Formats: sequence, structure tokens, C-alpha cells
Amino acid sequence: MPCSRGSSRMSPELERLLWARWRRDQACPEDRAAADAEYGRQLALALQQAPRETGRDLLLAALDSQYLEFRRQRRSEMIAKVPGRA
Amino acid sequence: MTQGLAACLESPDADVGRGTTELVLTKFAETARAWSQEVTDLCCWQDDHLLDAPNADALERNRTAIRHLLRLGSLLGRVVEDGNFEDAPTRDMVAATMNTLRDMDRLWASSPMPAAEADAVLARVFPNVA
Repeated sequence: MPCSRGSSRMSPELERLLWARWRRDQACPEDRAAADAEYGRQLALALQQAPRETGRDLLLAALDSQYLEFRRQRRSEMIAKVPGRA
Repeated sequence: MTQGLAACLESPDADVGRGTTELVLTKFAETARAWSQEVTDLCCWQDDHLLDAPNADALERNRTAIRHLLRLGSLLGRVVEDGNFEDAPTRDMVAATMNTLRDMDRLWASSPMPAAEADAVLARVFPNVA
């Protein structure tokens, strides 16, 4: 399995793609263009290796589902780092 | 440092058109930056209010905010896409922020793909597991 739902481990390529999107979304205005370009590169790489029947829209829809779980994990990690909120 | 039009008109040596243009475009870049920062702030708000069992009111307020920011971005985009607009960093920032908003709109506006189906799609694209 490619993702981190349950106990399975995430593919490194998918993890890089999710991190790139997360950094783009969290970026300050000055950093957003570079972060968006990096996310675009990672997404293009994923589409290159995707089977023909997996188009951009289908991949993005699948990524959205995984991305919400990824954001929950990032948020939990950030809360755990704040003293008194763990 | 920019000069207003009135100050330029009073000065025989001033470039009237340039002074006004710099003033307006400086304000425009500040406005575009504030808009992009609102998108970042919205993302943080989503993390705090929507990731775990969000209520319907919060979801609707989020969708309203996204639509509002997309409309503003569309207006900003018309300016930066003009051939005479030379502020490349602001143009790139607006384009990247619109990409962020479009992804955000799809993420929160549509019904999510069921987890099992999403995992199957991702398994075909990312077959290698560490």
C-alpha cells in the first residue's frame, strides 16, 4: 500500500508530494511561488509515472483524500511540540 | 520612494507617468501580498476548525471564504497577466496563490473520494513502499 492510513507505510515519492503541497499551502506570500513550483514539479513526476488511465483529475482527487490525513498528522505533531498541549 | 501625481506635476523634472505608476503598483503589490497572506491564514484556520469532525456552519463559512478569495484573485490576476505588468515576483505570487486556492476549493467543496478508492489509485501511481 502506498499510504500511511492504518499501519502501512507511505511511498517516499507520495510523501514528498504531500510535503510539497503542505509547504505551498502554509507558505508566506514571498515563498509561495517557489513552493508552488516545487509542488508542480513533484506532481508532474507523479503523473509521468502514473498509468495512462490515471489522469490528473483522478490523481488529484485521490491526493485530496490522503492530504487531509497528512494535515491531521502534521497538526498533531505541532500540537505535541507545544508545552502543555501534548 | 514614490511620488504622488500632484507632486510630480509641480516638479518640471519629474516623470509624471512614472511617479504615478510606481505609486499605484506599489499599493497593488501590497494588496496582492495581503490577499495571499489571507490564504495562508485560512489554511491555518482550517487546520484548527475543519480537520476533526467539522460542523456544517464552519464548513460553509470556509467555502464562502474560499469563493471570496477566488473572486479577489481573479481580479488581481487580470492585472498581473497584462503585458505591461512588469513586477514578476508579484505576478508569480498571485499565480501560485490562485493554484493554492483552486486546490483548496476542490479539497473542501467536493465530496472526498472514499479512502479505499483513493488508496487504490495512489497504489497504482506510487507502487514503491519504503
